[in-house]
Amino acid sequence: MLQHLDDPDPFDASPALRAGVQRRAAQLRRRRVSFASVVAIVVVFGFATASFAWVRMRDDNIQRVHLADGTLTDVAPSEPVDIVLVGSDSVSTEMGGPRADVVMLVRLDPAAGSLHILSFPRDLIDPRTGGRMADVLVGHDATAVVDSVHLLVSVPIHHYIQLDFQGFVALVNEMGGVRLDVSAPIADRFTGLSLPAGCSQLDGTTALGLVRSRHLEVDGVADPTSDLGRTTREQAFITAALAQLSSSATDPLTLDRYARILGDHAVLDDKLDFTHLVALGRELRNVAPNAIESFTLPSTPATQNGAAVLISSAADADMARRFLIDGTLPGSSTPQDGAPRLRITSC
Amino acid sequence: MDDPASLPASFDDRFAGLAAIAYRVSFRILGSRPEAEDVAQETLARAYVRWSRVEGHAEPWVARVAANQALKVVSRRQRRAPRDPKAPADDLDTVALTRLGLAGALESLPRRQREVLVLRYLADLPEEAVARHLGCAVGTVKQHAHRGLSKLRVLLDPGAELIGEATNGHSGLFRPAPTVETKRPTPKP
Repeated sequence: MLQHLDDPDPFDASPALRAGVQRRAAQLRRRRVSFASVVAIVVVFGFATASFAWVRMRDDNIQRVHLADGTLTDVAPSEPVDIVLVGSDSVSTEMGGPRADVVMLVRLDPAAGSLHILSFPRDLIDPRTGGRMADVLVGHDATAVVDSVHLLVSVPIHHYIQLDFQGFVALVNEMGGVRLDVSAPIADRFTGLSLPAGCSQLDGTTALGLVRSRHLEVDGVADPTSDLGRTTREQAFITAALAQLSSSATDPLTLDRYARILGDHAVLDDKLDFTHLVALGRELRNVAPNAIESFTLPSTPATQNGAAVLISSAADADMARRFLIDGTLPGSSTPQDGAPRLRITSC
Repeated sequence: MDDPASLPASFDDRFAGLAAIAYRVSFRILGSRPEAEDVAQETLARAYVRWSRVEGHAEPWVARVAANQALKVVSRRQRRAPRDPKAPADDLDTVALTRLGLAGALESLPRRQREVLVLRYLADLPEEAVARHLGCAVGTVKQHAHRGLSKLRVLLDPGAELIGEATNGHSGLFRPAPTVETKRPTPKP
């Protein structure tokens, strides 16, 4: 139809055209290679920049606290790291400041792949202030908490992590809940907790009810162990959660959601940057469930200003230190007489 | 394909045929031998560097790339020496004007219609081959060709009068159907 637009002179593919095609093709191929490498460089560089920016952003979002110089000890990578872990009712400064609901000292030994959790009873007398451990956080002084823990067990402490209740709930929910097997039905009218015997999936709120419960009824009978029983339940819960954490995903998106939760609900010491935190998480995942041991600092009941308190001795501190370092548990630690036996395990 | 000294046999065998298609398509748009040769060379070189992917549908691929390259040359030309669309076209013969109109019209058509027109009327590929290459039915090709052609005529219309004087009422782009052609003298290309 458009033949009238054709070249009246015949066209044939001359050797010159062939040679031109080959020359140009060689040129194009070189260009394609260099274009591909430019794209690759841009992609790699862009990705690195983006992840760096992301880490910085998440890092900046997390509340930091600077502890007085000399409070925290530097730790070499792959050396055992001792972390003071505080569960508080809030990280905000409002309403008279947070209270330490839970104080723990955890030792993560990456080389041995072990995790030792030492709990401090709430009613334990803090030798530094003479008050209770529960009140040690009032005034928002992370240095004070670490100093008190250090004074009680005299081990060098490397990091400080504080998490509030909502953060705990959010973390458990982010994990998709934690499965616990309880040997008897338990309930707490104060926290609203109610679990049947056997295996159940605990969401964040239920889990918080369990670890906070101090008025537990086991099989309808009040548990007289109160706070000490609570400590063992906390330890059982953490053991189960960590066992189930290792099977949950660690893709960047999941990590990002965990990081967001920490940003909203945690306070970390300013030496614990995000890269460090991710490394700790990785080491935590390498801990086998049977390499997690927990222990409560031994103490003797006493009365102080008419209130029931607990006092730990130098011998108690030695025991706790031995436990922290090599996981040795002193002989039998049977529950108090008449206490209903309650076993909580992962399932 | 990795030896730059010699072309692979499957490419070599079809070199002459593909070069002829590329040359025809670009000459119909450009009307200049050196430019059309340049386009043919560029097109064939591009086909060569991705030959394994092009081989299965080399003819339509070459036609399409040649047309795009030729249109690029046209716009480069116009950038260098812009033409006032209202300027008298005394210096251009009818065929050159037709080419100008064709290039402009092809640029303004929707992609699908342009592709069909290029493959069907610039490369003279049979409807079946066009349909196979575009992955559509022969009927669809006919439809696009028809719509494309009528749009082309409309788009070329502003010049139709001027061309008409010289071409006995035909736009100059499309030769009249053979029956008409017997009645009227064919415009000289």
